[in-house]
Amino acid sequence: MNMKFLFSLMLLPSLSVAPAAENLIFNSGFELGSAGFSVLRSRPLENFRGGFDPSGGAFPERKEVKSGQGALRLVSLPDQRLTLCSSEIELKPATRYTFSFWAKCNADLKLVWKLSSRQQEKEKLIWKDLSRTFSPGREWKEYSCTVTTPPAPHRYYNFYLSVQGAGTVFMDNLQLAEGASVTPWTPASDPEAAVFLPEIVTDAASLSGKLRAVSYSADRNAEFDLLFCAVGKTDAPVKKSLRVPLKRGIASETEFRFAPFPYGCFQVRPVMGGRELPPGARGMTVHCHAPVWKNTAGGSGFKLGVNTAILGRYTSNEIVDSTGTGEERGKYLSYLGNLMRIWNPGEINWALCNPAPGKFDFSRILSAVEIARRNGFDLEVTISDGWTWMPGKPNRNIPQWTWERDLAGRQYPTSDRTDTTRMVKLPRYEDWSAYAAAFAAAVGDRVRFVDLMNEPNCSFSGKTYAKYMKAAYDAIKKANPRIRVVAGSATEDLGARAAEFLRELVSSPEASSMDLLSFHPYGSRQDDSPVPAQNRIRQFRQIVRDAGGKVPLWNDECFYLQPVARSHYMLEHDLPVGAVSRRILIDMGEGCFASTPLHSDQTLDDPLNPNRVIQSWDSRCVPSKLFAEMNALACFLAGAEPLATVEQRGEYLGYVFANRGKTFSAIWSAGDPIQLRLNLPSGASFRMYDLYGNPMAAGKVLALTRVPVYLEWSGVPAERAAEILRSGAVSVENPFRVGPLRWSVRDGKTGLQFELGNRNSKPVSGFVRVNAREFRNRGGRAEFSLLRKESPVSIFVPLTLQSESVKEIPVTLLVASDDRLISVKRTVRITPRIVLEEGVLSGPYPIARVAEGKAPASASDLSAEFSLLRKGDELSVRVRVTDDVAGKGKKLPFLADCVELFWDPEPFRCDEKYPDRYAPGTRQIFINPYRTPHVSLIDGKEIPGIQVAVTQRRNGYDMTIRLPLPRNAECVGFDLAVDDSDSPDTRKTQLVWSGDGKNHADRSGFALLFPARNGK
Amino acid sequence: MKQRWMTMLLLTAAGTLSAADAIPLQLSRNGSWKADESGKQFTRTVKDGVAEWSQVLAKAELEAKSYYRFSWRMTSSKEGSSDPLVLEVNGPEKVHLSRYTTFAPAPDIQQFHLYTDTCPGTYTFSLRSGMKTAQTLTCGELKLEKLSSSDLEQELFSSPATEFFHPLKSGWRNAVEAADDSSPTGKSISFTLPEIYSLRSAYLPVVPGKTYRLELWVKGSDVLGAKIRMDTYMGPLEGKHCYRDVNVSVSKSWKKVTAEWKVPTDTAASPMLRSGMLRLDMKFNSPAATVSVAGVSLKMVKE
Repeated sequence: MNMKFLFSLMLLPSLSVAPAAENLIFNSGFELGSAGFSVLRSRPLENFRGGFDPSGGAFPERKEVKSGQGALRLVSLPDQRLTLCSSEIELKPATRYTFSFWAKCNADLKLVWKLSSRQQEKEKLIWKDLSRTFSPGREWKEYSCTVTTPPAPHRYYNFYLSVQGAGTVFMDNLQLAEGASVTPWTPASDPEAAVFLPEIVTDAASLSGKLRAVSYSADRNAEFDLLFCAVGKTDAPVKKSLRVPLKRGIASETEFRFAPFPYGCFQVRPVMGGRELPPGARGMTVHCHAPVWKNTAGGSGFKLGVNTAILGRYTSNEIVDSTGTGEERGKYLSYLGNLMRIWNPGEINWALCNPAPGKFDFSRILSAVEIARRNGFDLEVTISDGWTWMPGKPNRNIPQWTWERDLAGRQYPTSDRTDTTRMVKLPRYEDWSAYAAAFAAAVGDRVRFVDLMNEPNCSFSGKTYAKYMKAAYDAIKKANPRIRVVAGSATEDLGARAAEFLRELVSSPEASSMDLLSFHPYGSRQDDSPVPAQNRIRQFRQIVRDAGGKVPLWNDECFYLQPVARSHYMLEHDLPVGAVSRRILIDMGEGCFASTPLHSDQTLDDPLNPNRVIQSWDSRCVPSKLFAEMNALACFLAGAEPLATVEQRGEYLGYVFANRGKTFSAIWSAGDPIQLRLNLPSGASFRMYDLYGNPMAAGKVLALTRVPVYLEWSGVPAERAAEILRSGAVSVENPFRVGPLRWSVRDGKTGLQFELGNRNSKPVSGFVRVNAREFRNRGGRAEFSLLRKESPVSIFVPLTLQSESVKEIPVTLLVASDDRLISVKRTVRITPRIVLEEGVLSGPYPIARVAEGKAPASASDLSAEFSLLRKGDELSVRVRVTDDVAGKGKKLPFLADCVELFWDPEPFRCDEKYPDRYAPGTRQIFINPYRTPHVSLIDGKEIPGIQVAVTQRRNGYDMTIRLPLPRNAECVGFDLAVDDSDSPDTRKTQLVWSGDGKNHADRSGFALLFPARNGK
Repeated sequence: MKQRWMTMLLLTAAGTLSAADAIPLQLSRNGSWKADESGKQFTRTVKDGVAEWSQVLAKAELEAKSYYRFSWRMTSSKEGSSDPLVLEVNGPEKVHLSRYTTFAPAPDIQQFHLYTDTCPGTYTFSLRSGMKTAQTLTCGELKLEKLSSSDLEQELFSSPATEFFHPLKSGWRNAVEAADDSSPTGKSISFTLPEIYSLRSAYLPVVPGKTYRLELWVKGSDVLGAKIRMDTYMGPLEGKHCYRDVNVSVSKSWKKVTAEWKVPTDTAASPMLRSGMLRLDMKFNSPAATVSVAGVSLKMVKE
């Protein structure tokens, strides 16, 4: 009897056998083909020449089966490895599970089974792998192992089966079940079914797919519900019921159709008996606009696309086809725009392509270029990664042979940047230019844009880069003057300052040796970033203009489009709906030449493992929601010409642009998560489309969210369209703006002080309530009346601490007016409050909290204190530092002996979204006792009227800092830190008085000084 | 016996008492209640399982057509005891109010209001205890005040902790007010439907012909309907009462409810108006939800 269908007998009540443990693996007998599994092929970089042999892989097997009618055949070729990836399995923590499978093979090889968890927990990646190795024989045999799962919060797993060695393996009847012993195989459910959908559908009226199902125990009429769900939306799914006649043991397919079928990303999820089948049963598809923008990157107008690899995913030493082979990727990419950036050391890097002087091998990149040509998109090829030199980690991007003839010999110099202590490689100009020239000659006219180096500002200054830029530019132009050279690639990642680098670059004598200037805006990613994206682009353009240049800008990388950086870059790959649209719309609207912020991997996903934090190479990925979003962007923006900006700061942002003879706008709410309604004046005549290009109902009132909508104007000139949008009346759900909360004092009472603003035009009255258990009576309340738009008022809520020892309090702040109650959750830091009486010396106060580095070995190693004295409107800060080693240094001021004075003349003014970040007037002032001049500030800022006097002592120094107090200010934010350096340009310790090591960006730790004027 | 509109009781916790006129009280006790040397503080030690109804008594002369507030503090050494405490008020002649509500020991001062209408004379306030769980009761700070017209214009709710209860089919249960950081007052009374379907206030003194403004905040774990009744009504009395209903749609976020009502003066049509008392009765309509109420306020609108 066939074993696969024997299990049903075990369930008969007449047989007294123990119930079988539940098999948790979907389609474990492969009766549904390979549904629920994906397969990866990988090749070592050194023998990769651009392709994967299609005879290697995983294939449904109908002949060599252990039981039933299906099995899986894994064909592992000598020069490429093979890995089978399962779909998601939910397991209990700290529990024993037994994995078993039947296998046979035709060669001596090993199977490595790895049970793997990659989850997100409180903004952090948590991971765990458990692995076992098996050596299958030539005949069918069952293999097994028992593992204990890790403790919570690990919950979602998948497993990998890697074939080590060349040969063919047949597998059948996989089982993972709770318990420490092998139990007879059973399927995960009876019947089982899986949905099959095309990966990409273009301009279709309906979605067609198939449901493949099998009954293991009996002939039956199985009933399934199919849920048609929009990915990334909360819309209720559309349900379709199917009745499928099944013969026992024979898989059958049933076609289904969903209409209407809007543009976007969709899943079809099968439900049986009211229970949704596991992720392995789901199908996913993207509905795209046809890529009519093919072969348009050579024309005028905006260009867009993604960063990408084409031939395969590069993973430091091998290439994986997890995100598709070259031909598949070429087809995918044509849907995402008309211009892609290749920055992929697997396809091109200097060391790989120039292994010896005068010897070049561009075979990989030429294969990629050919695929791009066939699919109608252009490439920007970054021909080298950065040249940072880390001791013990030789730079593999630079040919080893250049190391021997480095401009600096073997003494790799430290960077000539002030913001890094990295060492760099400085290869000879002629070696570098020869490589660039060879590339230009090899690609001819097939590559239109050449980017010289990725993120050089992590390695050296704009001045140094400019010399290499000119060397490469001249060589490329000589080989092919039609190639456009992209320079800059200036990043704000890793603490680098792009503006400073670009200023140096465009002001250099070599500034004309570039055709385009690119940047990676990680420091201003979105319109709601602390520095809004549009402002950063305007700043860069001003820098170019100030230097007398006109070079166009290109945002050619910004993967993590959250407003600010989060804890782990893998967690930032998956973006909220609308994020990439906002970014690219801003780039277009602000006049950038092109925008390619995302990596193509981000547009793909693995629907089989919805709770796994995917690394793009570790399972097979297919087009997903960002794919559909990028596709719609290409539809609206490829070839677009920006015409007008519509910006109401803090309210909404939009752009008017022309494309294909029509006038469009894109517009969205600038607040987050604010939703607002924009009442448009008369004259607005347009069609409206959602993020994916689906028509929407349009009216005089636009309900704007963070997700942009597109307007297609009819008979309205662009300037009039902009005027209509600018003059719309805004109404919002939450009219209140709450500034930074500061623990303050007023009339001898402690309490919370902050600024309260009103966004709406209607004046409001009400009250503010602060709730927290740390306050007596659990909080307090203050009234406000007739709060008018653009006229914020200062609110003081009297509060008494239950305990003086508390340092931080999470509070709930409620603002009430009429029938509205708005809740704001913040953390308040209890910082010192000092009243400055005229002529009365206050202090001394110890500067003793270790904010950075090691604690001082002793008071003589480092200790400090300060006193304050107010005379009229002048504050005198007297600092006494005891330090046994004087550290002058040359680089960043805080890497030497230094006093840092944090000064905030308007502690209650702020950006609404980031209340504790620096306000425009906030300053971090560096005062180096051993440098002249003593005072320095970052980014060219100034602090008018500051005077410093330093007296050096044998064991330290005394410093008097005088600075004017802002007139009529109730209080100012203030803090002091002391940096200690005992070796050149290295900070050993930072001590701080009130705040902490975040003082440079966060003013919530500053103390408040109250200049007592007129006896108050 | 015909019930007279004379003596109205209201159990509430005292907030800040106004400068109302203090009325001399003649204090006494019986049973196992013992007085201290001052004669103003009383203690009773209850032995486990021994039931005894005994009381602390306060006697005073009250004027006609006047509002009064009687207040006291009763605490127990055993927190959360379910043994009953009862307040009875007996007036002159035919005025004899049997128990119509009970109260629990609490650390706060508690209070009730009464309106004498046309029956001046001697009134006795009897704080009766019938405990049988071992504990020590203390009773003190007994006070009687005559309310002025300005007192009646002040906020009528002082502390929802002891001013609200839930009528149940099996009796009633004190409403529990707990800390709630989401609440506009930092506290809220929360309860779960359908087991508890109503929230009712104690009686508050109102003057017929005056307009009162009700404010409160409410939210639910789900969207549901509610009816809030401002009712000129007092439990043991008889006669037609009049009221104002406010229908409220409760949402998942805090929503402020406001309503104004001019209390009618036609005592012939609504004899209950002569009680001088009003209560709030909130009923919620949902098969299952959690409801939170905060910041209940009732105050005379100055004209």
